[in-house]
Amino acid sequence: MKQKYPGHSFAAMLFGMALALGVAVTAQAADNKDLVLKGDAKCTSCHDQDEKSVMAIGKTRHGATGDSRTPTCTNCHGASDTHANHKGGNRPLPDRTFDKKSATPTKSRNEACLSCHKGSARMQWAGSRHEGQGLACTTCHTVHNQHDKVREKATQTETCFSCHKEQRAQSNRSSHHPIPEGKIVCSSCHNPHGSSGPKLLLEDTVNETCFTCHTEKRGPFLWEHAPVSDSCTNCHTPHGSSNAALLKNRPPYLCSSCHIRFHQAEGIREGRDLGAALPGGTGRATVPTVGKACVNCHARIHGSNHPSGAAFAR
Amino acid sequence: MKHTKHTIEKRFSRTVLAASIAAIGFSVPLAAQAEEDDLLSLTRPDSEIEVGVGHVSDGSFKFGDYGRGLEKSGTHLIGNVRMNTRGDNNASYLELIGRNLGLSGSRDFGIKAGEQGNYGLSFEYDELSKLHSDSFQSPYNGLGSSYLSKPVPWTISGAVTANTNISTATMTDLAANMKRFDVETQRKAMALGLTKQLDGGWDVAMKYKREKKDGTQLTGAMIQTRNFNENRGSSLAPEPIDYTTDLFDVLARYADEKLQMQFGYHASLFDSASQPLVWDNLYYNALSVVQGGNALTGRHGSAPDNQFHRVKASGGYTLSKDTRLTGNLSLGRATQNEAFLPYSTLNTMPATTSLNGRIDTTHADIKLNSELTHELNLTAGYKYDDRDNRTPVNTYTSYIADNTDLTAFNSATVPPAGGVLTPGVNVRNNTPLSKTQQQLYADIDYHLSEATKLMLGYDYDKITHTYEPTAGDTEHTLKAEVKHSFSDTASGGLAYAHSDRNASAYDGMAPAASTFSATYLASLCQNGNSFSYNGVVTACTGGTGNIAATTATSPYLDTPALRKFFLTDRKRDKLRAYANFAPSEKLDLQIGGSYYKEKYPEAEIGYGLTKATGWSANFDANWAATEAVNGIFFATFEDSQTDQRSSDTKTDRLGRQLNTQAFFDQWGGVITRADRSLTLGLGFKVKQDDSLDWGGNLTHAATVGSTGFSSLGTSVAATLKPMPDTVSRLSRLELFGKYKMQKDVTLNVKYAYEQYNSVDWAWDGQTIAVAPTNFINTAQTSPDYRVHVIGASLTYSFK
Repeated sequence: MKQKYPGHSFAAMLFGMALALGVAVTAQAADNKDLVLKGDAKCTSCHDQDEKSVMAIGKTRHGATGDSRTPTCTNCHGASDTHANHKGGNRPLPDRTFDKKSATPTKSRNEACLSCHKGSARMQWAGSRHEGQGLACTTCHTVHNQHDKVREKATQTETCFSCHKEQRAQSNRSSHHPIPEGKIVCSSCHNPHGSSGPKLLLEDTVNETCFTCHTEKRGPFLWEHAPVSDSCTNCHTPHGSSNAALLKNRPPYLCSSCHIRFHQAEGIREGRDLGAALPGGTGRATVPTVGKACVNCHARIHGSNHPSGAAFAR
Repeated sequence: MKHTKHTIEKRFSRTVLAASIAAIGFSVPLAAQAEEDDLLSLTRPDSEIEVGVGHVSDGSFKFGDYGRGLEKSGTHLIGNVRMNTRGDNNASYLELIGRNLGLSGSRDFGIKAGEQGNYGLSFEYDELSKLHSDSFQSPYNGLGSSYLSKPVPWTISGAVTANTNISTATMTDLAANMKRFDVETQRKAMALGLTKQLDGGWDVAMKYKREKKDGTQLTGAMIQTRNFNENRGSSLAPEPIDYTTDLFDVLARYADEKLQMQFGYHASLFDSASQPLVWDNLYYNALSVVQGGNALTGRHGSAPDNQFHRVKASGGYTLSKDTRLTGNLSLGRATQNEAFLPYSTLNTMPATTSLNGRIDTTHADIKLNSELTHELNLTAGYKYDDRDNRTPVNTYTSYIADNTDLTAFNSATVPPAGGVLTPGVNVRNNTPLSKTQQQLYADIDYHLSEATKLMLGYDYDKITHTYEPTAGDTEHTLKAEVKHSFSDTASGGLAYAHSDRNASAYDGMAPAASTFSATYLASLCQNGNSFSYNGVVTACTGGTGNIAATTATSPYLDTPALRKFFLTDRKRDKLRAYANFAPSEKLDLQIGGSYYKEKYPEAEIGYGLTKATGWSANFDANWAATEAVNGIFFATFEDSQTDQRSSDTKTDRLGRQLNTQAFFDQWGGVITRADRSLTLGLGFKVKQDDSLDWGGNLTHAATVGSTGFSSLGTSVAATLKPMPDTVSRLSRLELFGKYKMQKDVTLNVKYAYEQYNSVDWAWDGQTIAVAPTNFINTAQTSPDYRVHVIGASLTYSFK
């Protein structure tokens, strides 16, 4: 939409005549040709100035005119004739808008994107968790921007954490995946557009997702530790923990929730097990309590391939 | 449409320029050129290169961990690049991005090029460091290598016999030989990608990634100090690792208006070039019986090479405007056949020389989504996951740790005094675990009104597995959520889910009966009793000299009334509430909270995890004071807690076996572990004018972990001392400023201060004099640092 330039400037008055000529020349150029996309003159005859919201489409994949699949303005925003042809004030909005307070139904907004992006990673969007929560594609994506921050490692979490606040807090715990450092992002493990796995995980199961990076833990091992084979999340919490190694609970207590036997690791580990390191304590600490606790000995807790490794100690 | 002051002025300047040029007679051609230039500046991608220097005040592994690359004090290079070019009249593109190029262990680099809609090529490189400890110490020589040798001399003081358990207290040379060693790993990954658009709606994508991970990680290194029982000594040792993982992915995709399909092949090839870690026996007793006169060493098996191959087909079909069907089918196979090590470093090989391990995986799912009416949406589906472990079952001899005298160990017929050794004790069958999971679910979304949406759902989950205490379980989950928009500026919601998992009959001895010999299990219960071993009535053989058998009338290992939390009955409730307000155009507020409770009814009358509860609350405020100034504040508090019933003593086997109240009243107790965390964040940004941006962030995260005890038995309460809390506190201040010196040159200054302190009883205060007598102290301390980082750089922007 063209702006009426403020007429109070001395400079504008001084160059008034020349200004009028200049505007006429540039406006004529804009009115007669597409500036970025095929057929965009309908829109850019007015929207030729706002770098942030409109013209920057040219900096993105959606502005690649050489790609026959590239949409026009009206492909996404609708024909919007009432908007384009309106004279005077209170101009109606385009047929389809995508801003935060858009009155366009979410389904209609998403159809604009899904008409092209229905396959591949978006195949399971229909009925997915995020779709069910009423999210629009543009809730997370900024289309008219060279840097869609949800698609960039350094900034993706800003978008995800705006809703997933517990995960934001957990990522600041003493043990975490390198999420705040920008080395791993949410989409390293999750497909926000829907997936076959639990919790929108990229892979079909929790363990398959973890094995993508932790391949040494895949096995098959000669001696399998049952909770490991069942699910990594039996012991680990992936977004951050105050326990080492993203553990849900501290060893030895994590271990003793499943193991109470005649072995020396049995029992109620308490202050005396810290020996003289406990203020007021005496004597020596016990092996299953300090250091890595049970893992001081059962080092191959994810599984052992040693023929004598049934106790995961070798 | 909003126009900023910036764009108005820019337009004005342009127009003045154009008008001036027109006025002096150069007229239309030059004006058009100026317009063209302006157009390009609006539509041509921006690129920038940043170069500068930074300085870190103090070195700290914890500060530099997780790929930050700032673990060393001193000056470093700041190097970032981001280049984007797109053809003005065609679909060619080139994208290049490099981050932290001056920081080892942190840098990454990527380049993408191609012709959009035709083909694309990509290359990525990434470094990631994991810094485990910079305060670790060990007496071993050769730290970082695969052979950790004993210092010379290594003297054991005091009188010893052949059956003396050597204590760290008698290791005369221990303290003098403690050496610091940095324990860290580095990942370096490189990936190549190719995409090609084909005719008829098809395209193909291929990706190959190689990741190398090397360095050291801490591992427990245990050794038998005497020939039987739990007479073992341990240490933490840096284990060298040298892993290479190759990942291949090939996809063929098809998409049209209604049908989308995808066929893929995935391969993961893991190769470990690490040599098994070998360590000298620091607990060596010169009078010990040593087979063949060999000095004993301990040895770990390293992670075995493995492979995984999978084919996958996915599809989605839009049945009608409002109905869509999707489905997936994947078949995978994981294999592993690394040659076994000998049973011990004294070179006794198992009859089977490698595992020939194989797990077949199957996944299938189908999902239907339909908008039944304008108000009602239905999603229903079925999932099937199968892990079929087809690894052969064989019998192996199990020596818990490398042992000085295997012959004596194997041939013992009478338990040594105080020992549990019985013929057959060390014979084990492997138990390849298989699991099948099936899920049915249905969710409906119903719009009660334009402003109110109700979501209801039901999940059915059925699991069967092998070699576990249960044959499987079923779980029913009911879910409900309501969302309501109170106005254009206020909305909220409430969600609740209840799950009820019911496991089949729990038999804690079932896994043991599959892996241990009848002979061994018979030794765990007292003479005169009998038990059923895989359907065969077997007589108990345990004698009074055998602690494990004392008074038990049937064999068991884990306490019979123990219920493992991931296998037993469970009732779970989850509640979540949230609300968003926008009191003004400038202020957005979000509040939310969640609560969960898991109860394990069978453990409540037995042992194991009985309850897990937690709640969280969060508050967020986003404030856009002006178009140029905005700020955020957030706070999250989380509290999570677990209760587990446990017990002390290993002498009252019958009391534990029968799960009597009298036993619990004497030896039982409930352990409560709780973590409470508070995370605060405050940030602001100011865009002062076209030339200056500045701002800052303040983050604080504090966690306290506590351990409490209740319902203590009389004998436990008499001596129990409370555990101290574990604490970690992180505070981080970041300030930045960006000053545009010229149209295309920006000066960046950054300052960060981070302080972290932690208290952890697992490490703190564990000196040689305090640490266990059968565990080599590592002298590690929990991290504590204060680090300042400053940086100055110039960014050159171009198109």
